[in-house]
Amino acid sequence: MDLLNAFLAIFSPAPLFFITLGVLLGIIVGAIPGLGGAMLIALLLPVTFYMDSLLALMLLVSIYVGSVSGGLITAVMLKMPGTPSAVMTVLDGHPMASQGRAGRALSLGIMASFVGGLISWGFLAVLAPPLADFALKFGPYELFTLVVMALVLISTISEGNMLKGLMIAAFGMAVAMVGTDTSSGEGRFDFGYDELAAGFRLLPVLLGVFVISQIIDDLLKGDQQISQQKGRLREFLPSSGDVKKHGPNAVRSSLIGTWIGVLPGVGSAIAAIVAYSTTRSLSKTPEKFGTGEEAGIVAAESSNNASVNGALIPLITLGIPGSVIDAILIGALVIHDLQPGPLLFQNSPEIAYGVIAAALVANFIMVAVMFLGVRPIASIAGIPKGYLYPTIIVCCVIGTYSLGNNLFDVWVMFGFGIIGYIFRRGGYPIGPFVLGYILAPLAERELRSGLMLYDGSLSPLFTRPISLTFIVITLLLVMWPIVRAWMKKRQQTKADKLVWQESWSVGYPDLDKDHQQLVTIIQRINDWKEKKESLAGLIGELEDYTRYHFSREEKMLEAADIPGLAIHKAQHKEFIDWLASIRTSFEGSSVARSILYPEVSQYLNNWLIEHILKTDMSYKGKL
Amino acid sequence: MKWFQRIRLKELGGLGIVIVSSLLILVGSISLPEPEYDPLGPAGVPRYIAWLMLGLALIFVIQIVTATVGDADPERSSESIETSRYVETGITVVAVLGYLVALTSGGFSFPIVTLIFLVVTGLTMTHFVLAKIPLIIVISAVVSFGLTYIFQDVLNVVLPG
Repeated sequence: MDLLNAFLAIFSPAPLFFITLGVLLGIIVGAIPGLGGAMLIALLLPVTFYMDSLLALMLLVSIYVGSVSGGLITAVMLKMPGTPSAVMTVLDGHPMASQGRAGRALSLGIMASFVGGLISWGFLAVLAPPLADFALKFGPYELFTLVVMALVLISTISEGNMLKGLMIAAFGMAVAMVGTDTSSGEGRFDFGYDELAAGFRLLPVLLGVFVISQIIDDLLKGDQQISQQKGRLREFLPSSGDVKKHGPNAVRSSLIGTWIGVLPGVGSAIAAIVAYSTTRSLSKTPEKFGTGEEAGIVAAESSNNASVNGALIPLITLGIPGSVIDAILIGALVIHDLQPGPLLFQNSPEIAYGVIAAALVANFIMVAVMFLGVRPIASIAGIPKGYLYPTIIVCCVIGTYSLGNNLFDVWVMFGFGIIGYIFRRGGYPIGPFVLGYILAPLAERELRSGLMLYDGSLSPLFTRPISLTFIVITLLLVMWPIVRAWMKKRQQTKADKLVWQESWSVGYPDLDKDHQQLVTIIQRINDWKEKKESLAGLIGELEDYTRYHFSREEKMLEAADIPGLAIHKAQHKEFIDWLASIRTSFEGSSVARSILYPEVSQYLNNWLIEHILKTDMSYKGKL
Repeated sequence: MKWFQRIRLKELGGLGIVIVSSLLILVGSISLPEPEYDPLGPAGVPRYIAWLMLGLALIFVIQIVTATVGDADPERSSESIETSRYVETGITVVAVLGYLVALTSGGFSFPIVTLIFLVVTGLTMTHFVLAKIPLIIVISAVVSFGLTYIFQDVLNVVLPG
């Protein structure tokens, strides 16, 4: 069985039906904020138990592809990322929609998603088989160090403190230790409860930490304000000029997304952030990002979709999940009695190649569904969660109970839901927990196998080249945050404090007082972290005061009939519009604040000084 | 700022879970047999994980006390929860507990219990807007009996209750 045969097998009614269904469900779920592909795939795991293994995996992979794309719709139309991978798309997608360019934003996003999926699929198809062959050479110590590296990597890169990531990864590993030790047959940590003899099952744990904890979190946060854009979706189809304008960005971002997807446990959200940041730093107008810059959407969407196929590479070839959703897909493989990793190509090639083929076909179907179904899907995304969540809870109960006809599993699910919520509330990332839980049995098995193989010696860990490479990378990952902070401290030169100077006076006390106040607010923006002020609040304060000052200044300029007033007013309007977009981006998005802040701060400082010294100084003595 | 003022209560929950679970593992591993076939035995790796968790928790506490870690984004730490959210969530939790107890008792029909659960939680999650009651009842009936039919009759899945 090879890839060509897999494609031939796909083009028959059943596979095409399940791929299309998966893409459609994935897009819908991806569009609904708070749900996401992980939740749907986890919910459908028990249902796929009754399906043919290949069809089940095609369905689940298609959901994965669709869900990452679906987040684009609500990011643009509702100013809400449907999935974490769309968090960067909101920054420029919604401002474009506010400017009446929703169709343009969506079409760019859809085509960028398609390009990202296509490029990364090429890597998946080319690299997966030889990598699987190479991975067959891995011994127990290589697999053990690979798992450790994956866990450290996701802890390092997860949102929040790296220490929190490591703690929760270790907690996930601890949870996996409960139950019967497969090597010795001894029961562990069941404390006399027969129900725990088999440990905590995968599905209740996953549903608990992903679904139930999310529902609790959303209930406590309350309904989020939805800013829905209406209007005609004109300019829907991209033009040939877009290829030249956005092509290089799409390719670069796709490559970034692919390789970030390959990194175990990282995922599409990080891919989107890195690609967006890279594109912004290479742009000649970085301050325009966050206000409706097309390149921002292209970067985010091509990279997040590229990461999907990138993440499938380590899943299929090494049995290491490339993302949290892949961790759930491992559960699907296990449920169908399939061994993820290099043996999948040997023992079940039709599954391995079938998944690869399905990923490509799903990408094409995704484009069609997105172009045809944008409006109805955006409407579905607006359905209040109050109608959806009770049904989801019941589906979780049914799915969990069906595993072993035991209500204990259902209690476990809700227990982990509460634990998951406690971690979410404390800012602990959930991803490392899932990876720790899934990979711990593998790590323990391989470590103990290695010790038995080498008579209790750990030295092969350091003498075998592949194992040593993984150890070195792991150490670098642990050291990297410390080194980065040290480098940042050395390079950082504190920006010169913005202080009013008398030479900036335009000769009119009221206007000078306004300018001094603007300087004060901008300096507070420069100091926001140290002073613990709200950045979005400060931008809002600056926007309000700037409107007030511009209004006063323009009245005085009109009364004096100053030449060039139209140009002066246009500059004012451009600045106010930019401030309003930035404020909107900053509100409720810590990612936007941390990513966009450096350029915003620099732009504010430069714009104010330049505007006072050049434009405003031109009317000195003339009013 | 004093060290105890830097502690954010919401982080203590996660820290507590990590510490308690590591202690449970260390206690639970005492009764496990010594290794026979491999140097680690059934208790080896869990003990390493438990000590790792305790070590990381200790470093975290030290960082809080010495203030070398802080919330980089002040706006995140200022999120607060309204009282009405607690009430609605509390009602939902009680409804879930009641649902599970009813299913566990085995004396009630699954679709009926599910219908009641869906109505109660649907009403709660839509903020007790009385005008929505008819719609909630209809949706709940469709879902409860529909899911029962799909899983029990079509997929032959055994349902609780």
